[in-house]
Amino acid sequence: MDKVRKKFVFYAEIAVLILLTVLLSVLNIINFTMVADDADRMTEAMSRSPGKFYEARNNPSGFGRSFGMGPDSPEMNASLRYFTYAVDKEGNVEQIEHRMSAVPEAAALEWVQSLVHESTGWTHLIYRYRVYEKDGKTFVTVIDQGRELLPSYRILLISAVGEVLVLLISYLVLLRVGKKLFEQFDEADRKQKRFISSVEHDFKMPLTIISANTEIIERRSGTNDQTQAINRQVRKMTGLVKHLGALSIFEEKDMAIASVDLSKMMTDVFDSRKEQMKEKKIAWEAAITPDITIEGDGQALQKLLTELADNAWRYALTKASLTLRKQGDRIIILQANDTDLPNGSIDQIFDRFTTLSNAKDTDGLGLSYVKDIAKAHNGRVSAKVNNHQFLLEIAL
Amino acid sequence: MNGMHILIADPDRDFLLSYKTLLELSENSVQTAFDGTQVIEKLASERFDAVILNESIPRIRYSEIVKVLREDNIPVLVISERAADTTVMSIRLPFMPVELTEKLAALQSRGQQNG
Repeated sequence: MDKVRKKFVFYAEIAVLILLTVLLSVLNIINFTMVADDADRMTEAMSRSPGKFYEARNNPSGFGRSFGMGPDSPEMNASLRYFTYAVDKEGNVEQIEHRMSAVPEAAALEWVQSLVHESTGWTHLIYRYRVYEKDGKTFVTVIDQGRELLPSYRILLISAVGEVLVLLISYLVLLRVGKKLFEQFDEADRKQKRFISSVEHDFKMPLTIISANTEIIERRSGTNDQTQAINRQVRKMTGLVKHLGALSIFEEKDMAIASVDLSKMMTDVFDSRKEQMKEKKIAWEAAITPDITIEGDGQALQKLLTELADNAWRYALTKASLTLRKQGDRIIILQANDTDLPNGSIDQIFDRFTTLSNAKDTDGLGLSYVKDIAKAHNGRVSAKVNNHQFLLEIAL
Repeated sequence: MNGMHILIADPDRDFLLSYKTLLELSENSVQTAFDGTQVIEKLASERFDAVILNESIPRIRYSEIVKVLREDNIPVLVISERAADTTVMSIRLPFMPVELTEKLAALQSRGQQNG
């Protein structure tokens, strides 16, 4: 349950990160775009003048949209830094207006030459330019937007710092909330484990005593239908209790990781079932790619393969198979058999104590064990029926 | 596996009765003890061919009893819920009678090999 809680916090943080990043990116893009728009409005109006701000300022068509702020500020005429040069067809350059002390005329001329074939954009980081034709000449107007950009950069910085802070705070909140949220699931999980442990513990000795006394009766008075029935039920319950015990052990212990020859293990499991399959007249096949190894718990993987073989033996009608192969960096294990179940996904067979309509003499725990082992090896399981073919797939 | 003199130590009296009867039907002689103190008393007064000992025996820890049995070269089979102790032969609950007799036979032959 701790793993689930950590996953919840992780994915929630990812969601917050994506949301914040998208939101703040959009806001900052809009902000910077508006700065560029303001500059473009000014240069566009100036292109009608051409090239001089105060004349454009007097032109009623371009301004008045920003309520006396920004480009519409009455002080803009005095404070705007810009230059405009015109280039005729012979390449002669004429200064129209130069109101920018930070860029000397010589440098301005160079800029004009480099921008004369452009249209509009940013140059040298903080300067917005526009190139336009008028009276047979090409005009290049460059305005200094440094002062307008400074707040935008501040907002960008604040956004970045704010995002980090929000992520940190949300992480702490999610940890707290996650703990409370998962308390009830933790409790349910603990109760289930306690129940399993209790059932396992309290049933063991009575089952052992019942089977001993049944044997005593049989030795003294001979075997009869009743004692045989008792023995069958005791064996069934013994299997269930051992399964429960295996489940609770697996949840408690750390895995003993080692290099496991999965190909050999599966071959051994396949071979060990040949006689049983023959007795039941089931065509038993295997397609095992050799030399497939995995870092895992050998005992648990042995149990997984044994359960698959048991499943095949129990439910196959006339044929069953085991497959082991590699697919990219994944190891694929398949158990298939013919069946009379209807088509569809049947992933519920991996839930504890769940069996299907064709269930035979089973406690509904074997495949939940398969799922637990697969998950512990970072794998996933799935099961489906397609055209009377049952297919169980494990990807490790 | 028959003709052995066996001590069964378990806190459950039904278990003691059942397996005493069962083992005696196989021509073994059987004594029982339901706590660690009784086990030590019986060991002091008789020589056993094997001891079947439940790990949850009260009064004295089973590992202390196993130590004593090892010193006296008496084969021991521990009845356990998890069989986590790999240093001693054990049998996991629940088990069928045939499983116990198989383990006892293995214990007997091991005892004979060790002389």
